[in-house]
Amino acid sequence: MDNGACSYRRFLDGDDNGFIEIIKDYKDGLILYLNNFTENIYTSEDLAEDTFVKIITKKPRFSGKSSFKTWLYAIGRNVALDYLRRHKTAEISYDELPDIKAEQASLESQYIKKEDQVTLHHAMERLNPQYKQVLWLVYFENFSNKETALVMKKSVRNVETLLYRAKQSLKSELNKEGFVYEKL
Amino acid sequence: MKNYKDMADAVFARRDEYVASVKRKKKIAVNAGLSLCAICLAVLGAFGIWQSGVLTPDPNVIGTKPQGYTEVTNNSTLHSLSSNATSEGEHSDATEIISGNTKPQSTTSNILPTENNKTQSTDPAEKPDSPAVKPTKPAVKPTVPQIRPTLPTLPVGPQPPTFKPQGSPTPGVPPTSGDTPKPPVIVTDPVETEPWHPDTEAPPIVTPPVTDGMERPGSDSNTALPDEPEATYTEPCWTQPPCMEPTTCSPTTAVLTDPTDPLAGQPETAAPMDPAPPTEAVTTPPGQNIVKGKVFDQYGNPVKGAVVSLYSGGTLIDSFTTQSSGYYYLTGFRPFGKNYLVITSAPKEYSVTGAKFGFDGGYCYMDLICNKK
Repeated sequence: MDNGACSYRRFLDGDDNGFIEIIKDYKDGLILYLNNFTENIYTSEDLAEDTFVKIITKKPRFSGKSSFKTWLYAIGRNVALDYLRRHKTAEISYDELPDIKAEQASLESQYIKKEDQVTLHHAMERLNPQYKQVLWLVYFENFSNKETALVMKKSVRNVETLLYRAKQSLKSELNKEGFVYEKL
Repeated sequence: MKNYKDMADAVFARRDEYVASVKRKKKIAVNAGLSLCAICLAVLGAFGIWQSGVLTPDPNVIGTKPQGYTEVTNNSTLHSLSSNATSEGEHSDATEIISGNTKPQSTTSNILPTENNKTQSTDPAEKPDSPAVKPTKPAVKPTVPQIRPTLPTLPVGPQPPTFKPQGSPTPGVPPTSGDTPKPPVIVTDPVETEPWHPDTEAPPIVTPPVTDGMERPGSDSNTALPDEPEATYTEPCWTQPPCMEPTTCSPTTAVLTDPTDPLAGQPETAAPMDPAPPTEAVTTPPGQNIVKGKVFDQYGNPVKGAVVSLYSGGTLIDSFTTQSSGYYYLTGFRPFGKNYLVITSAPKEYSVTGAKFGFDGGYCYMDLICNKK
């Protein structure tokens, strides 16, 4: 049982500090993951907050078949999809665009420690949303293909195919900018 | 961007709002449920009260009187009225009050504008300020119970002076012991009260009033009909009987009046007969295709074993063998055909000597007379 599962168990037993620990551990990664859907760091932050509110109010059962992070990201993905279903078009004003970029860079600097991964994350912004998701979950969250399939609600085979195409697309994007990422 | 503490505070704040809203919704739901339960209980209570009959209109209450019920004063009031009437020497007719089964509009109360009051107002012998009118006051009390129309008898004795017919045999005289006043017959239709003219009209049909059986028809010359004539049924005499040879028939008794016949003048039912006559003669409705009769000897004794046959145009229609009662019963009689009724077989000690023909209640009958050797 990982730390997230223990914290959630403590929260269910009545300890609110357990949920605070969950927020502390998984907030940034969830926001950056949801940013792959919304492409707006503020909206992603709100969606992450909605995800935590949904968990703290509904108190869904965590069976432990997967990691707590996988389970949390799956819930966040559903919240993001619901949001996108209600808001078909992205509402981003050009005035907010510099702040969004700054906030996103700040969050990336906090969450992504390695410089080469930051360059890779910047290159991912021009990819297909599904490519961005699978690349984020595999290369930044270190999810396995099975866990990635659980979060994205796809089969493992689908995830593998999607990951292969995402790598090819990312390589082409990096080649355009003159970067060569050997781990891809 | 929010740090994790700000986000945690926001999350817990939203959770508190959510819990509060849930409690509020639960409270509203509980209140709504309680209100619904209260309404249901009220409806059930009302239904139970309605089913218990508490709210059912009581026929004994004035104003909710159903049709056919008689509204009169109770016995005590009636006695008081009767005592007043007795003291005033007024004659009243109690049956006018209680005969509500056949005439509800005239049976409400003695103070209502019924025929009683009309009679009082038209009676010259009645004084308008007479105390006999005063007893109507207790009847207007709403608490006065009523006597149902099924009241079998009326209190014998003085009766309220609500009705004083003209020509009363003993006006103003209270009834004495052993001489109970006979209330007049209640005629429901005033048309029937018109005198009957026996020369021009048929005797009127008098509807027997539904009273307590104390009425005596014709006791009051003003309200009752004249004595009903004896109801007799007159059978129309057929000048030419269609079935048999021309004979005579009596218009009144439908029995031949032969002075030599020991059974002459007696109705058919008066003759000695078997206790179990043919049932067909009883159950079959009257019709002209039936001929019946009796075979007897010159002494009036029924002849047993005589075979009576009905022929029409030479064809045997029906045959009957008499029993100990001597009666026979044949069907297939043709009123306008040519019929022959013969005794095809008789005991050897008898010989057919005559016949009597007539009608009885729509039946054509012929009594065959055998002569005992």
